[in-house]
Amino acid sequence: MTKYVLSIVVDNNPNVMARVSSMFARRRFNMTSVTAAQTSDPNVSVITIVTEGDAHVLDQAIKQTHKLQEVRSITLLPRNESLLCETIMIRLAFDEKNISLIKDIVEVYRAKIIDLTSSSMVVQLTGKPSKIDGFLEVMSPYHVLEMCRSGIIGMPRGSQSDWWKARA
Amino acid sequence: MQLTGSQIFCEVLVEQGVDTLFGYPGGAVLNLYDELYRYQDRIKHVITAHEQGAAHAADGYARATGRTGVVLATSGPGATNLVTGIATAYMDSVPMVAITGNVPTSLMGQDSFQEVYIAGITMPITKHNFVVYDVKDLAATLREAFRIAQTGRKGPVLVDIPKDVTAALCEFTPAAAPERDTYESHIDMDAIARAADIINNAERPAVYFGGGVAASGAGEELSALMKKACMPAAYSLMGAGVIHCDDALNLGMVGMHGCRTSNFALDNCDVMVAVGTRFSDRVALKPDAFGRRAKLIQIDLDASEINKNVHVDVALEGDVKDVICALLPKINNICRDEWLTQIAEWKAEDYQPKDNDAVLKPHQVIRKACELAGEDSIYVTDVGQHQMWAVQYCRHVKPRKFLTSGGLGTMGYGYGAAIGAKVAKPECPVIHFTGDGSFHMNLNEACTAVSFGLPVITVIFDNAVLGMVRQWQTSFYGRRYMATSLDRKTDYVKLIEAFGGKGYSVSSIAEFEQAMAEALKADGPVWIHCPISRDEKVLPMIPGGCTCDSIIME
Repeated sequence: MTKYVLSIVVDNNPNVMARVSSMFARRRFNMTSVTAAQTSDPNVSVITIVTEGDAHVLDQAIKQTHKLQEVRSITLLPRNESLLCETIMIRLAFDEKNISLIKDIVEVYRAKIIDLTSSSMVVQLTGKPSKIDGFLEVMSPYHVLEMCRSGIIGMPRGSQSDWWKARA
Repeated sequence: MQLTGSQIFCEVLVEQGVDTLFGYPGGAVLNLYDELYRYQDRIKHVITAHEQGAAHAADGYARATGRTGVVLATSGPGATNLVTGIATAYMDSVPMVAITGNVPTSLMGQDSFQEVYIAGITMPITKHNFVVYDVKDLAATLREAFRIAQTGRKGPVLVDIPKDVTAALCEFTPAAAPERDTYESHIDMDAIARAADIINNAERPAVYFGGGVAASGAGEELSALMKKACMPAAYSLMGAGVIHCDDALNLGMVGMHGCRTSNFALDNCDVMVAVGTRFSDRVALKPDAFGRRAKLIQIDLDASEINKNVHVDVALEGDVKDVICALLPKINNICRDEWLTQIAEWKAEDYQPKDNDAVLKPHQVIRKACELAGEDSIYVTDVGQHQMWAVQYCRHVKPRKFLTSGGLGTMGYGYGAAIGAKVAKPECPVIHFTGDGSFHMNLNEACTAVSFGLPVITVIFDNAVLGMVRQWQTSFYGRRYMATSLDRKTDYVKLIEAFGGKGYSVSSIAEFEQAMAEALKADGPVWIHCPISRDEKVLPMIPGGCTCDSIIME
């Protein structure tokens, strides 16, 4: 099973997210993460879905999504060639013994401490998925109280920069 | 020109060529109905007994004509009663526009009286749906709904209109009648060449076709392709009538209850050309083994159907007619006598039901009904054993003459659909085959047929059981007949007479012939009650998950 990142350009209508997720649900396509927001064009939203499956499932997910009336285009963003990023926030418990170690890691990853109490802190990190995964692994020995992540957003590199403006 | 939402609604229906509306009024659509009162000379409104019947009627209208069927219902329960009808149309790619009223926008989301979020409910069973929150969007939304329903792969679209929108005023600009289908094929000529090469080099090519050929109106083109390449063809349930049943290359239905020859032909062919069909689990019973000896070519205008259930070697995306027209000139005129000889040998061993003049046999009843009703007749079925007997034994001579719920398998589809077909095609006899199980679901529509003077003939195969489920219980569940022995005491003759129609109960084929002849002269609905043995089976049968090696012939 491979993870794929799909960038879906849709009309910015109410319900469009429901249509896409309803179709994914009924056809049993996996949704590891999903993000959706308006773009610089108020008529257009971009939905980024990370899905897991084999090549046949991917082919079907793309074709079935493309059939939805409000979908303008759907693009597979190859993980190594695309601009992908995600934001996470984790709340960590710390004590005198490990706070400096945690701070070192935060610095190495250029993460930010955005909330601090006497016994816990919230660290925010934005970066490409491999960086996020690495950070989480390094943080795993520490006492993670809570975590949330934004899900991946992505864009193609370079000259395809207006990919979402063209109607497919 | 300032019009109310209701006036805009009627104007757009007229502009879209809608002459008939199937529906049921209610509080949320009172404004629409008040305006329809003024449009009665242009839009005929058929009120059914139940909204489900109206939805099936719009579906039957669409299947019989190829034009978009329109159904109108009120909010809440009116809307939810459409659901089965919409899902039926969705599964069989039938063009339909369903209009529902809703509570005023100010009351939406408050769990108001007769409020339901029908857009959410119908999301997975429509091509698309809309809620019109502003009268300014109404005309464009309705036009878009028709465009989507009848363009490309057809299907149902729902438009939900809150009550205040039907009363609000707005500037309206009339528009010309639209082009029916704006879909354009972009044919890949390299793929056409590859497909032609495969067909030309085949020894045992066969066609497997379905409802997409009827939707495209490509029966003649397909027939020409079959003839030129000497390719026999088998069809799915939805493909019945696309090719004339007397065409020697037309083998019959394939699949679970398809004929032996069709199943053997597709199992043994070395090239299979799938045309406007979707390899459903009732045909590709074992997907990995379907066409196991063949190179597969698939023609379909829906890209998502390609490689969905069965992997194919060449995909030809586009409207079926356009693709066949591009393919045909590249096909060599070939005689494949050896292959046709093999087919003829299989044909000689096909399942043949035995006639019996003492008791009613389903195949004799159906054949006699077809013989008497003639080739212009439209046949409509419900779902179950009688549906399979009907597709097996009707004479399929033209497309759009055999209306049946294939994908969803909706028991209770038939009577509404038959009414819709009769309204659409009053000049054609309409014969509705049903079973005692299916018929009890929606026989209330008899009142509609009586009120509108619709001479729909209903032939009821009454085996006193849910025959298809019982057949499975017999074959696969050790004859444990749970909940399938109905033994209802319904007196069908009295019941239809109570509705205001005419009824017959017959016990031999001679009596049936007489009743059918009289029914064909009637000016209102007629029921012919045909008691049959509860042990009648649909044969042949290939169990799900098996190949034709496991075909059951007796």
